[in-house]
Amino acid sequence: MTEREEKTESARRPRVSAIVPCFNEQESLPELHRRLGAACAEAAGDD
Amino acid sequence: MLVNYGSRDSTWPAMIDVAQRDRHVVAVNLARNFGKEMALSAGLAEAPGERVLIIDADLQDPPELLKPMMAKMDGGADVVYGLRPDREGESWPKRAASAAFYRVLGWLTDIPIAHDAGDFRLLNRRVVDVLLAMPESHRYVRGLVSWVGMRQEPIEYRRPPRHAGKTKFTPGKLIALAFDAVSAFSIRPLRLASYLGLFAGVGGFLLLVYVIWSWLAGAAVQGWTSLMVVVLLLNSATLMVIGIMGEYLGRTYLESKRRPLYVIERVVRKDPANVPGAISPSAPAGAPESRA
Repeated sequence: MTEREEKTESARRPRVSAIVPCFNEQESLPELHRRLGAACAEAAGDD
Repeated sequence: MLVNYGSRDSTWPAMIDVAQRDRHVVAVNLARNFGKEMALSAGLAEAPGERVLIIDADLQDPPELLKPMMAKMDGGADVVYGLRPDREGESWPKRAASAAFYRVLGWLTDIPIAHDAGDFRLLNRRVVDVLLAMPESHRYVRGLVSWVGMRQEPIEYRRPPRHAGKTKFTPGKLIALAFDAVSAFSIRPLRLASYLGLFAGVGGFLLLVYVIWSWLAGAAVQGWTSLMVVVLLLNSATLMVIGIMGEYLGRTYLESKRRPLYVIERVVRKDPANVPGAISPSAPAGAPESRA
């Protein structure tokens, strides 16, 4: 990739992604969504 | 990115619901229970972020730490891993077993695997790319991240007891994970087997010399008991060697199949182009994604 293409690539990337493997986690989901969403917003803005 | 791997309750429908309402959330459903390590691998492959946070769903790892972890990475770390100084809510035997496990693992392998660190990590993009380039089938993500090296920094935190649900790691699964971890990173057990075989061989030979000498010298013939002891020792050494060799042969066989690691059944996200809340699968139905 040329340098310009690379810069555009990373401009499209969100600052952070969180991966959560889930197995029978229905009870934790609402709280998880709330806290993790808040943490990501705090750390990286509205990506 | 929530990755569901074979939940039997209503986790997946709940995930679809959240993903349709919140554009930040992407729900990924693996076609069946491929295991947590595979779910993590799928997430790593699909996650678009500059940095990737791996976190458990049970909220024993606090999401609030993300901001300080990002700050550490801004300071130059490539990996920020969570370090738990103590384990509240875990039984004593499990704690002792875990400490012993990491000590033995550290001795058997040459890579620094931090004890008391779990899966809770923030990874840099280039670390993720290196991980994705690894075609290994037996995935032990924790160990692979350590293997990659680069600059890894810990962040300490306290781990509260589980928010909901029960632990997935039965003793059987933990032992299996231990075997996986050791054989993924070390051939020292194989070396041990060779030493053991050598020792048994040498010992047996010396014993044989002694037996013949004492027979020649007219001393009392060795009893049945000592014969049995020797037979048993040699046989158990042989069995041990076969077992360890079998472990590696098995891995070579499985690795050579080049089977896809997992199959993504579909991906759901809030689609701004269409009607809000519509499900947009990443592939047409009937053509599930697979990744080798």
